[in-house]
Amino acid sequence: MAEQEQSQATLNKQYQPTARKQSHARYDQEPIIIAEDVHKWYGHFHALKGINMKVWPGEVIVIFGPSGSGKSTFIRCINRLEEHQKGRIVVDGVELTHDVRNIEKIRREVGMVFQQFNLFPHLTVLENITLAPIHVRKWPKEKAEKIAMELLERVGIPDQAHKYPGQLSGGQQQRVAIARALAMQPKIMLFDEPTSALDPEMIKEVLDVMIELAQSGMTMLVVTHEMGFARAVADRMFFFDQGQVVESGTPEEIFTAPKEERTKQFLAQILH
Amino acid sequence: MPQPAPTSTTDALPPPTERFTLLGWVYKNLLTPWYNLLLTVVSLWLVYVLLKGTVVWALSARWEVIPANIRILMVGSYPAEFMWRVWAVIWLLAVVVGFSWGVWVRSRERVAWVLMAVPVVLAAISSGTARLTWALTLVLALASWWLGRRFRERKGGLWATLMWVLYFPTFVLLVRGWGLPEEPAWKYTTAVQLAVIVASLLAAAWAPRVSWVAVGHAAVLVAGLLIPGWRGALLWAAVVGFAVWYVARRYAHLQGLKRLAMQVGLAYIPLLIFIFFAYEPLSRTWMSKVASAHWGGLLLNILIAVFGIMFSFPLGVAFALGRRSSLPVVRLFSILYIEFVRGVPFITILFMAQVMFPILLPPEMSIDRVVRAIMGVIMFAAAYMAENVRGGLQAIPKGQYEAAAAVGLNATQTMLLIILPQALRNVIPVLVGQFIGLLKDTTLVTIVGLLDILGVAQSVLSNPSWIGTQREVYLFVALLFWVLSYGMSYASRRLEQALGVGQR
Repeated sequence: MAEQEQSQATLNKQYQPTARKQSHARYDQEPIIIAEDVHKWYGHFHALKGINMKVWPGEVIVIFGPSGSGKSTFIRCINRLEEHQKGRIVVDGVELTHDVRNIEKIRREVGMVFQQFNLFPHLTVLENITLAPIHVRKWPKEKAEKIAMELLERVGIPDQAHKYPGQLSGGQQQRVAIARALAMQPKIMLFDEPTSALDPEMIKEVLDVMIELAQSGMTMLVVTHEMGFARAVADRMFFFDQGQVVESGTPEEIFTAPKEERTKQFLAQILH
Repeated sequence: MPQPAPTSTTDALPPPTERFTLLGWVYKNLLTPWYNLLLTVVSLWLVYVLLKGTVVWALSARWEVIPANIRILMVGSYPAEFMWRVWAVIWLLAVVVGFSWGVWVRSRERVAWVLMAVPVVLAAISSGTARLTWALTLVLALASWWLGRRFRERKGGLWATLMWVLYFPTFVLLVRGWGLPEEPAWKYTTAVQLAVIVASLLAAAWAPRVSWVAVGHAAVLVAGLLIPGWRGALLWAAVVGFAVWYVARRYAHLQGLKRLAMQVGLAYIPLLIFIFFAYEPLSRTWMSKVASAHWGGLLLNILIAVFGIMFSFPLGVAFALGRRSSLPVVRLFSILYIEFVRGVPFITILFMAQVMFPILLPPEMSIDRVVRAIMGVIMFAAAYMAENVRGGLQAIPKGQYEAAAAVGLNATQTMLLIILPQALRNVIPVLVGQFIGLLKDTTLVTIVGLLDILGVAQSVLSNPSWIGTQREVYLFVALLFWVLSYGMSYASRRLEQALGVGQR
């Protein structure tokens, strides 16, 4: 029990949630993401070895594991930034195949936030956010800008609207990236290690935005090492290792009673 | 135990400054110690020795050769009674440049005064009516600059772009004129072509069903094939009309298109009247055709350079994208084109253009010699431009493509909105260097028989009354090219500043 208290104390130290967790998952509806026996090879390297996952609307899923375990590869398969060679992925009722129209349909409903922000450096913050709504959803400029300013307020940086990304700090850039993804009003948000490239002081501001997003009922798939975040808002957690889902469960199950040996080893490493 | 005093947390102090004076710098760097003084004296003496000859010569040279031949140097054998059309081109340029300056340039720059000084200087060194025309240029530029500033918030950018787009055809039309009609139906075909295009624009704004519009264009096509003498005109009208309709329809959801279509339709009526009534009398008097054989001098160089640059740039970008394409035929063709054209000297391309185009085309289509030279220039420059742009494209990180894809942009939108703006900004210095080289390479058209400024210079020097004035003439030509090249180079630096290259 002592080590449990110790790991709990470390978790509390690592991250203080600003609010109590409340699940918004809608288990009565159909799953919004279905991954059945997904395999992916990079040349001869077998990166994903049969992933099975179902995500219901409103769930917050945290995917964690050692580097090279296929976590980023898997979530990039969800919006077809990577192609899976075997198995089935169905997003919001649309199956991901080589059909370009399906891919474009899915990408409008799935927003993604990258580790390296990937903001467009030649456009202002406001233009970054309004670009896709204007050109993909064909909204008029006034509507797009109004929604963009609301989003900037929501992520906490309305005064930076006319600056260029290069003039912002890392935390601000990542929040702009989140606003840019939200501007398309997606049903699902994917996060690929959103805080891994940030200084410790800036991690909190980004995680606060993500927690607020979770509490507003957004379906989120987050690849992260921030266990405090997982503990605060995750509905389920998946542990990936060497291309496979080793274990999955609620945060309580994973942190207090992990079943697999590899999970215990990994948690011991990151919760030192 | 005495503690050391804590470091005081006072406000930050300003750094110690050394006042810079010119005399101080000269004294410190040129006059002390003694070997610097010696070097300074020796250098000054060397400069004197080298420049003395040049300055003495410059003061006693026969500079009158330039003003005496200025007209042929500038426009070659362009008929004197139509010189007003060349002036019109310059005045229109002043209007367009002044307007764009007023719309787009925010701060009151020193450069504005330098640009305004150009017509002033030219007025000062010329005489008679030329002086008045340069003064008029200045007046027009200032007036349109003031107008441009008034339009800054009222879609001034759109008007300025429209003015630039319309300037180049107007330039060609003014310089070339339109001759007597070769076929009696000439002006009618022009009117019908324009009618088809305007109809397409109106159709796009009010978006009738696709089948309707396609039938209409097909009917025009068939009519062109059946009616003798109208084949080329109606074919062109059908294709361009359909293209106009297709492009305009994609923007039909934008509110301005319907108003624009109505305005174009209304403006078309006076244009129609003009074509029917004024075309022919004008073609016999003011606007009669000046054959391209008479275009010469600096006018020819600038004409070839401007159109060469304008068309080789998008072609170069297209080839750069083609070379990186995943479609094997496109990729192979791009590589073959680039490597072939880059492996051949420019003069060879010019000769090939002059000689081979007439062979390749059907005998009734003859292409103007100047146009052939321009096409050669475009072919040549596009290949080099393609490689430069490709270098810029390679510098864009993969994350930009991924972010664009993740947010739902398709391949074309990604290229146009995200990748190309960044890639082209990075290669501005290289591209402008290419353009400057292109401007100077246009002097090579002398070799294929076109009389550009260098050709005119050589013919001036063979005139017995001007024997021995080589230095004056060539120095003048060199100075002209230097001014133009430096102008382009300066403009590119300002452009880089405005686009924030290297800062964002």
